[in-house]
Amino acid sequence: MNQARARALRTSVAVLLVLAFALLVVRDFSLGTDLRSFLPPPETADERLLLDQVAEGPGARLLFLAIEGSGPMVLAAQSQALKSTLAGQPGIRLVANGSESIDDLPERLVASRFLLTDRFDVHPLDASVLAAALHEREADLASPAAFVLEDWLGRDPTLEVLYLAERQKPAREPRRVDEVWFEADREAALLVVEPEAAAFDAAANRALLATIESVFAAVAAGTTSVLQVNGPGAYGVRMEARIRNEANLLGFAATAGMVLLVGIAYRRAGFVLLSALPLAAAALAGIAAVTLAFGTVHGVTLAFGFTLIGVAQDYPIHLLSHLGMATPAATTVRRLWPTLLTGVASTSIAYLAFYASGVAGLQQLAVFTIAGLAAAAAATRWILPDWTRAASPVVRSPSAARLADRLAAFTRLRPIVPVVVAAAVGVLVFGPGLAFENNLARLSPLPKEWLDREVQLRRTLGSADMRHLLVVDAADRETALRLLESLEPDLGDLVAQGAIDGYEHAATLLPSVQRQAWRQSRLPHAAAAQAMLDAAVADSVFVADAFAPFLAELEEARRQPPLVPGDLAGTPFALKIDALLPSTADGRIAALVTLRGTVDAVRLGAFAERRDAVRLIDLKAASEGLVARYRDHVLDSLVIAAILLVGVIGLALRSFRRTLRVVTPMVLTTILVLAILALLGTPLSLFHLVALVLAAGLGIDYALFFEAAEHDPEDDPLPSRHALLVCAASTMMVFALLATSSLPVLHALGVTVGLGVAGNFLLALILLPARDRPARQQD
Amino acid sequence: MISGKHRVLILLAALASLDPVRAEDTASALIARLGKAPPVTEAFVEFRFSRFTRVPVRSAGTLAYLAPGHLRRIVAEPRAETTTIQDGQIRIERAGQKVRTVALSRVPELDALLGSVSGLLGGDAAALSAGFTIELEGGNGSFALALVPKPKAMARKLARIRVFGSRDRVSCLVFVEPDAEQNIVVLDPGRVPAPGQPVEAEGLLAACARG
Repeated sequence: MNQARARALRTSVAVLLVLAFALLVVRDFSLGTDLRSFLPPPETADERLLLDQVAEGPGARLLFLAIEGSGPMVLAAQSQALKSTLAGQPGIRLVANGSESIDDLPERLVASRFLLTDRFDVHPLDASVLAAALHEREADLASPAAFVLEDWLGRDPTLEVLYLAERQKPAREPRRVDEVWFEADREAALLVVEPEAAAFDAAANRALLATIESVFAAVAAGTTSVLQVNGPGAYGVRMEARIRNEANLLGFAATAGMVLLVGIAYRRAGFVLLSALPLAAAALAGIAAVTLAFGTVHGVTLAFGFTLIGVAQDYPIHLLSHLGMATPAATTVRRLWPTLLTGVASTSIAYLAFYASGVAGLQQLAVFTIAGLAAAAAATRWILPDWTRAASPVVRSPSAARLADRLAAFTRLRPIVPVVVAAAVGVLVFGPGLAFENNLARLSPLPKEWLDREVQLRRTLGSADMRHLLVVDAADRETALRLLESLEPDLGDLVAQGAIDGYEHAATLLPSVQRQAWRQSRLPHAAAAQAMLDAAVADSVFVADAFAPFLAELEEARRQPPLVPGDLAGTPFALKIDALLPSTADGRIAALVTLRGTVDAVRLGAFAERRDAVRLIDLKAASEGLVARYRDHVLDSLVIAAILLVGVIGLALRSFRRTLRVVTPMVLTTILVLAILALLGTPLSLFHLVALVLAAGLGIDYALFFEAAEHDPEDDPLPSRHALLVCAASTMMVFALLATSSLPVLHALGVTVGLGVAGNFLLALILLPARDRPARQQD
Repeated sequence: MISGKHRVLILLAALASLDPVRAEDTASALIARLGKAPPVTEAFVEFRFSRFTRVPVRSAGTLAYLAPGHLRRIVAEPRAETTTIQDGQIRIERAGQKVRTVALSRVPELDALLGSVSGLLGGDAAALSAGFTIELEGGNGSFALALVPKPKAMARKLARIRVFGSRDRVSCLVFVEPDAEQNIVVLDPGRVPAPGQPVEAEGLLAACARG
């Protein structure tokens, strides 16, 4: 096959592949924003519960709205208006703003109040109880507070409805203005919205946020009020928007920078396009591979993908810098190919370690990177030479030669290196030491202020502190409720002893069917009820006739079927009960007992030990354990990857000494970067580890090429130095751009890899040139 | 306070007027005469008539008019409680219970109380006629006014407020609800039967209408 036909064949294959990938991407690409993708996979039942509570529990989908910017009465009125309009919107199950009154209670609940209330358990409803209640009502009639009660007086003289309504309110109520929730320390009205969609359904949440914004705009027209929406659903949408904006900006800036850089380095417009070719191939192949393997591409993975610009850029640069006037490009690339391949293979092995981690986000990253690098290398090897013509003159220019000499001077710094490295090791061993990020929440790519704000709002709205939980295992909901009821005496003791301030569980809201039936049996039948009423009324100012509705409802309560959780769907009760009676993966119920106040973990632990089905969970310890175990797992994988990496290099170079020379700059740089991070006090997170691996991969590439050139005595070191300089410059540019990102993930990546690239570049220049090599003359 | 069922508030007022009232006295002049500089504190006994009760529910305490739009009702019996209306908000404080704050706009009955007492004790007929239609019911030495609420939300809960008094003092406020139940507030200890004695609405109204 002659050259032209070979070239045509290669080109056609390339075009076909590009079309195939493009079709795949266009058809199937979807951007994922599921923030769980970067959380470690749970292994124990407790860890599953933890992640459920954090990620999937009904509480996790809540949206918290805060309105501020106007006077309190205006805000309160707007809160009411917003609630009444939003409550009817499709996609919204529930809106609460503190103004829920007993008139909002569902009728089914009201009708069942005598079965739900525990106030007649010790002393049944009789004439003395009723008489005491009537005495209270008499005093109420003289008070303005009576305007709440008067509609209920005839039906409910003991005010069970009010008692039930009070019980469903959060344990620690936020302050109120005009019956509406307000934040404690600022003038902001608060609302809680429970949407239909789960927090991770980005499309539904986007639509929901748009609805909320437009309703608010109508409600707040003409005022200075502003709305702030918090919660995982809102964060997902905002993250998506932010990632997209930043990705666009970064992409644009990186492209512009790259064009500039290549233009300066090679002074040929054509080379700009050429260097872009493998890069485009890398991006396309990466996205296609991830779409094929996972179905979606996570936004953060895509952002990481931009780092490929820095890495994939190296391959064409090496080729372009090494082009000789006399040698055809194909020959040059064939000579560089073994080194190129070794570079790709070693970096891919490092990323395989992430694939083994089991975390979806990191697996995507691994697939993206490996596919991308392979595509970039292939494009450089087979496509690029076809389109390259002559050598770059700048490689031979006098200014380049002067540059080469200046770079050669770096070898004089060799003696300093051991000192600096020793200092770094000293910092790591004796200094502040490396801190590891153990906080599960910080592994989320969300900015810290958003997370802190959400915690603040949840606390204001009275969610119990979620550090300690008692979990009761049961086969189904009724059994769970009965078990919870059986724990009541012990829990009461714990409160009395001061081990906890208070508690809440599903049975305090909805008793078991068994208990409801028991209460039902104790209610007085019609004749006894009438006699009871007559006796109670005799001592009061009330007339017996007024309470005919009460007697009727009492009778109705004696006959009706008990209340089950399904009857309460769509009410605030349902929200709480679902949160307290979550199902586990195997279909059982893990009933929660949430605790209030300072918790005496020792006494609670002892209590849990005594009861079979009860377990005490320390969520903080569980989450930290999860993170620590996971990190150890990743580190183990990385160690294995490092060994494989050195093995691959050794195999390629077939010399122990050469392998050592190639690996040394990378190892030393890693130590230096870790020392700098330790000095900065940055706790190391997962993303730092990823960044270190990336930097190591880059370092290996530089060292391989550089060492290869130095190793061959026939070779002019200038092209290698030129290539190294351009590679380092382009990579530094990309990661400096990333370091400016407001997203913590990208920032961590940018800073760490930037430091790593600088270190690898300098150390390669300092350590790798053969010391006894005479300075070359220019041709 | 005023709400819901019949309530009979009896404001204890000063004794009979000194001068006979001129026949052509207009409502505005009358109201102007009633005006006093704040703060004004009046002891009161309130009787609430309700279809739920055989006898009216009695409460006693002091009503303080502190400034236009600022009213405080301190009840001593049957249960200690303080209600303050200020800046369009109602604060209800009871010993051992959380303070409740409600917008005045949500309780038209209390809004009516505030409007009527402010207007009467402030002597501001213009302000009063903004919220109520004023009808003069009569007379010599003593007078009777009827205030009919204008806002619909208020009118739904309150049919009219009858004001009895003589010369420059209000002796009774009667809050009449749409279902004809009444709330009589008397500011004159002499007009009110002792606690424990039977109380009838007609008897109280007659005592109020007396000069």
